[in-house]
Amino acid sequence: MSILRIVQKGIRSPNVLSRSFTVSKQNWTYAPSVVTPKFIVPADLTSFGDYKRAGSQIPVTNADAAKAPGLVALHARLQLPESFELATLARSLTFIAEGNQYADNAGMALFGKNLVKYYVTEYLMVHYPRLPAVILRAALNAYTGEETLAQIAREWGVEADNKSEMEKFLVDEPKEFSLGRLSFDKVDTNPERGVTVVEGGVNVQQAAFASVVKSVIAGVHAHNGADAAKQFIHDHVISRHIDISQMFQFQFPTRELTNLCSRQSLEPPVARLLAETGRLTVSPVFVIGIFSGSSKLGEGQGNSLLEAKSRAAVNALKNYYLYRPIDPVVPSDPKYDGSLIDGSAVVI
Amino acid sequence: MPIRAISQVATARNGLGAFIVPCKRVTLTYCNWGGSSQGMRDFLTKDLKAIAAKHPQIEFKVMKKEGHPIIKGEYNNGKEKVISVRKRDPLWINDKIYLLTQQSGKKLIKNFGKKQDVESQNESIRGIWSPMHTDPSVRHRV
Repeated sequence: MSILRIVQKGIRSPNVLSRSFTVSKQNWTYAPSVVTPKFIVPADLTSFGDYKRAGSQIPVTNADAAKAPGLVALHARLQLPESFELATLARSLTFIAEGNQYADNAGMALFGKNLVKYYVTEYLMVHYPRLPAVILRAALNAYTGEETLAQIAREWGVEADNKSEMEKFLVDEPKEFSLGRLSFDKVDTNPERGVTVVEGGVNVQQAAFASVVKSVIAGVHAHNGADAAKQFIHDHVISRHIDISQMFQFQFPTRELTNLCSRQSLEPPVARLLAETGRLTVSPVFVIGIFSGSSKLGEGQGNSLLEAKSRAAVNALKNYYLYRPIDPVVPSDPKYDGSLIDGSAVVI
Repeated sequence: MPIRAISQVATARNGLGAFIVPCKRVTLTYCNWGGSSQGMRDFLTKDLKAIAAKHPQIEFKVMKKEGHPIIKGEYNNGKEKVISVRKRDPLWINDKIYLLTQQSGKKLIKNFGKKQDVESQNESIRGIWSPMHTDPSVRHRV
């Protein structure tokens, strides 16, 4: 039996100061999960053309989609070209769920996810060729993780369809209006105000919002081609800000630097005191440089020699790992030449 | 002693790549009966169509509702701004709709530039001044 851990996030009532409790999943009615696509497997397993997705495959018509004001406005807000059909945008807003009336965006989202991961990976690998694998993965996740993509969808003005059928009926809302909102299986991930599920299960709402961005990228690729999709990813995803230099966490920077120097066949690093003041006072300052032979790799300052030395080592490591070539060319660029590294031929 | 990564979420810089208009919906309410809605009714019949055509990226929602008329702007950051247009003429409503559509939806900052300094996301290119790196012959001596 798996356990969901719940914590109280804020203090709402003075009687409840802090709560931390566990709930068994069996009694937990909100157990969130994303529906996985189901397939109809033909009797003859080798007839590959007969494999089909279960569930509704009915597409939204462009005429219906044009009646949804939210959808038309979203199309204009994203500055999508005319050739990007409104029906495709409506499909992007249909997250996979049981009993969907129209075809969902699961396939589009899967394709869009691969597109965005490909373009962001090539951008990072070419712009920061020396990033360690863990940092590269973290940077990729910072750009293309579910949390970021869901944030992008919210900044696009995508809204969840939170109205019940009864509410829509009471205000006499045309059924096409719902096409302009993100539909997903409304699993209440925040059952009580201030309570958040921190472990176990999937955040369906976040997955649904993220799927919109992925699907729109896939839609741009389908309607306007690969170049337009690349431009769209650069405009909406890569244009965002991350600080890679703040992503590093070194446990033993000096040891790491020694390893790096031996890996690069450089002379072992030596720390030298460059400047100091107030050694015998309560607030001394030391400036230490790390040298390999006669070249200075990094510099750091601190209130103790040890602090200054490890800062210098971190600085040297970051100087190495955060190297950026001039005029980087990514593999998907037409002028990319695979035989050149840093703009010049590789001599072996 | 592997390097560990600290995870981040990329933050938006609207306009650096694509620009998304922050205002997503403007709701206008009016009353068919009340005199305070007279200006709003004139506005809806005469001016709204042209304004809505000028802003395709904003959804204009007209609601018949009892009481004094309001206009409400909804923004991509989840915030709302409401302005009462009770007994106002169409020109005034037009101005306020312009105000709502051009806003970012953020809270207004008082004394901008005086008390609230702009904080850059980027590191200073020049670096922080350091007394340790000045020429010892010209250093200030206590």
